[in-house]
Amino acid sequence: MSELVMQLRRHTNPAVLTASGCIVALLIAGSFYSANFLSPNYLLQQLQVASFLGIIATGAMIVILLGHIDLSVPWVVTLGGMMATAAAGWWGDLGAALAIPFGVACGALVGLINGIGTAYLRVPSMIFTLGMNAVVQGLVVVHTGGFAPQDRATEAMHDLATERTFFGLPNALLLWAVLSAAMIFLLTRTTLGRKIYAIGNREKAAYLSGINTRAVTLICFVISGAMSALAGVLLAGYATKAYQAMGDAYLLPAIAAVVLGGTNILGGKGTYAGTIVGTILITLLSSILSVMQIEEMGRQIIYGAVIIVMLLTYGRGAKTQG
Amino acid sequence: MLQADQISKSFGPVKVLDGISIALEPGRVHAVIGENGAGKSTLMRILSGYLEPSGGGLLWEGAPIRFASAFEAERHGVVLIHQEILLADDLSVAQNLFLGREIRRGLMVDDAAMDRRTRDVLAELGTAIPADSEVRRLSLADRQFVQIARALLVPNKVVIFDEPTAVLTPVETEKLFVVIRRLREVGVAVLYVSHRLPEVKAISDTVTVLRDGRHVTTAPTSDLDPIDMARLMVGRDMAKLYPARSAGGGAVVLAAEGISVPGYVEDASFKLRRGEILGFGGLVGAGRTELFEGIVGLRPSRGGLELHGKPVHFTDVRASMKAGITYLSEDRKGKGLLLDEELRENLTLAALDRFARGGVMDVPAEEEALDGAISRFDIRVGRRNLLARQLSGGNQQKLFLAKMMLLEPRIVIIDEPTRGVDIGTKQQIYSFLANLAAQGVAVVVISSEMQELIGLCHRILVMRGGRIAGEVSGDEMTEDEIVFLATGVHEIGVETAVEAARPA
Repeated sequence: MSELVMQLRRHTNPAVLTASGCIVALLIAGSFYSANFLSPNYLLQQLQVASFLGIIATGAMIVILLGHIDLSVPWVVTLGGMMATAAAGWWGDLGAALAIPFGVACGALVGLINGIGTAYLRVPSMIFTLGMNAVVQGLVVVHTGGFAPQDRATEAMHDLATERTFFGLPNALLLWAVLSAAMIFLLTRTTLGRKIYAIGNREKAAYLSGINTRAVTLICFVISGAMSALAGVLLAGYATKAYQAMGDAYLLPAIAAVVLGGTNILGGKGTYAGTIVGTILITLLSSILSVMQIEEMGRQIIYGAVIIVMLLTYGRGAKTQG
Repeated sequence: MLQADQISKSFGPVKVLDGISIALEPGRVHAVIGENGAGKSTLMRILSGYLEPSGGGLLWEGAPIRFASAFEAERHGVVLIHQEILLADDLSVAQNLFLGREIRRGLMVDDAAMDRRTRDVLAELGTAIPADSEVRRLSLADRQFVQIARALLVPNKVVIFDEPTAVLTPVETEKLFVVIRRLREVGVAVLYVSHRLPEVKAISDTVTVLRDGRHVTTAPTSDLDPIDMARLMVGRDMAKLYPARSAGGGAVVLAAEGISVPGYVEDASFKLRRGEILGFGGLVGAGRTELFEGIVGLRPSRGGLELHGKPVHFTDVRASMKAGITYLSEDRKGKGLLLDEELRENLTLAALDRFARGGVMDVPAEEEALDGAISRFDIRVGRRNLLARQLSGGNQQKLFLAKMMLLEPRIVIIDEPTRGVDIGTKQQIYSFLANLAAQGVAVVVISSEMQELIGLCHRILVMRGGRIAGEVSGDEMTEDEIVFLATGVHEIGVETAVEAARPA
């Protein structure tokens, strides 16, 4: 009997269960407010919006699993959007065709620098990525101020973010689904996934097991940068243009989504399914709050409070057990 | 003074103490001995208020008492001197002594008074540690004395020592005994926990033996010789603990010539042969671990290293692993295993690529390897999906060995192979290492347990202060000889050295 309970406990993450329960509760509570909250159209729309956050949270999670954090998210998102639209302006048709990969590549480049700073120069990731965020912000401001680049999203970006090409499902949602499947495979079935969890669990033990911990860290930061920039590309497509500070509102919700999904903020533990659930929860929460006409600052307070409460509930166990 | 009455303690389903009664009397030194896992530390922690018993209770001068916390025990005068050093490295000796109980004058901290008091206390202990020195700059032994001084600063009636001599040289041990004898003279009840039986014989009045959480016997120390104590602790004959030695001594596989690890090791040279077990002895801090960390590329090192006759220099542990050298750290919980992952993930981590095709894990192959490891290393688990954290120390060590052996190394360096494991597992680990050597693998065993080195190794190199002080083999492999090389002082010399150190 107790054996069975133990088994259940091991395989079902309490945080994922709690977060799923919260989603259901939010929908039910919302449906009292307005029946629209349960309409398929509203739900699909929420999932579409969630996919932007979900893609950012994917990158955030992989870095958090290592025991690091990427605080350069806001301006890498902006950079991704800006560079993709600018590429279309600079290089005409060719630029328009390459806009999306170029935007993503710029984010990956920032991720590469983050990775070098963290893994090879051994600067704490919290400081290094925060610094990079400021550097990228400065570069973007110079770029938009001096060169008057194109900021209108290309056709392809717009389609990717807003169209419903297959089965009436939003393209952004499908993209998120594909990335999610890839990430689950990566984390659960590949050697890289094993190494990520091993490093997050105990970097010294991982290193002494012959794992190239620096290279793995570098790869994770590159993925994180690329994901943020991809989300920026989509956001620019969604809003039809790229604009400054478009990523500012995403850092806290992305971390909140990861933590709500039960990933240990100190690394080593967490399932990607949790991050999906956490993303949906944050998105729904945000939507319902805005329907209830709670201002952005109110939402920020709630995100912050959610992160702190989740850390108090789930985040502290690992290190105190020693 | 303080009595334990039929104390039991369980952690979850595991019963670690079962109806233990002991009585500490003023002016007596009571030793508690037992193997790792016998329940010594649990008993100590209950007596000093760190844990509460699940059954039975404590008596204070005959009346039942309950310590809700260590502070409460301390208020009654019960102090525990921890085995681990729990001091703030960056504070001075005096600041550490008075940490949390500073002497004040008004709102200010009275440094002068604390320094004065610290000097007095340290002088009483017979050490010459400067009161204003940062703890970081002290030797391990000095830190141990600071810790003892700190504990004795509070009014005490019962003092509990937990393996106090683990990091002490014989001279320092003798100094500690002077302190303990003085405590006894002033009527303090002393509980002395150690696995060094000759010490127990020398210092204690009464001995209690624990085995598997049960009380075996309590007897006057004068009635027991160390060998009797060992037999009572183990519950069977000790003779079979070590396997037969193989021939040893094949071709030289690893030759170190003048290896230096800056800050730790100077000019160390040795040769390691195929099929032999080479022991490295010495005191904690002699540089044994650092020497090999330097050799495998975990620390910067200088000097000549030849592997199978070819010069090599490793700057990264992955390079030495690839070359067939496997290093098993003494810190298996911090550097060996991933405590929060399951057995399977732990087992294959070092040889991950062997269990993957194109970067994708082959889980059935891993499961098969786990089957193999469980039976080959006799890892005793009820079910396979346990976390490494949930294994006993012995099973963790076996899992760690199994993991590193998947690399099929030619040279195995194992640091403190039996620390924190029970005697049954010790025996298994010894016979495994002996087999490994018999198959032609070169094995280096770094150990602080002299008996283990003597019983297991073909040759023993002893380090002192970062240098190799000498080699013993064959009949020369005795504790006396190793202690002499490790400390530079003969046993007979210890007495005179202590005499000389004592104030006239």
